[in-house]
Amino acid sequence: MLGHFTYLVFELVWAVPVLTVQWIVGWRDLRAAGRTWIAGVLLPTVYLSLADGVAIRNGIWVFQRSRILGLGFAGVPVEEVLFFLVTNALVAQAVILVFARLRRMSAGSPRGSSSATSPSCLSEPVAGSRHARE
Amino acid sequence: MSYAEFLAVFLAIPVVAGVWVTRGMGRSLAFTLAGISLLALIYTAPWDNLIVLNGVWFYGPHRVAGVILGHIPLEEYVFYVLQVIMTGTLTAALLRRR
Repeated sequence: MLGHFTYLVFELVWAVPVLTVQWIVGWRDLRAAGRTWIAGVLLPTVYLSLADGVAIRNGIWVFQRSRILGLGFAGVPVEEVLFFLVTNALVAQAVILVFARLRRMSAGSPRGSSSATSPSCLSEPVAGSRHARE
Repeated sequence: MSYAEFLAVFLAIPVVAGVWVTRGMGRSLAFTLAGISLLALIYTAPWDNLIVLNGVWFYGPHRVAGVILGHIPLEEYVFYVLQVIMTGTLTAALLRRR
């Protein structure tokens, strides 16, 4: 029905709503994460896209040409690169948002620093810390 | 190369490295990644099954162990969790360095 756009439409409809909610809820923390966001999302995306090429060449998964755009490089469909981009963004952003929240909770509560769930390893505020250093 | 061997080489090695690097970050990271893994399984499994049903891709019959849950092999579900741990530990390690 969707023809060559099937994979692309499936992944956008699936991922974009959750990514949007993450940005609405935590845009300050995500923007403040800066280079952490860029490296946390892009490094695994490049790595998994290269690994994907190995899986495809080994016939572990096989794409139907009638369901993908047919664009890509080294045999890896562009939709696969986009898939790793959105899934790594979902994971990295979830971690950034949870740790920003935990940090604020431990900073706001006098007993927070002794709590088992306190990210005591995060010694500076997530939001704005880059500006403080620069 | 089977799907399981692919996971062992390309996912398990960075996962072990990521867990090692973040081993001092305590239970907060473990709980966070367990939660994200659970959400990833719940949210991705129906979508993945639907996309395979729509004929976007199929799995090499001699490349998977043969445990099929729904329309996708067990290895695929393992992939979600390993990817969450790999990307999650990397992001946590980067956050700690800031």
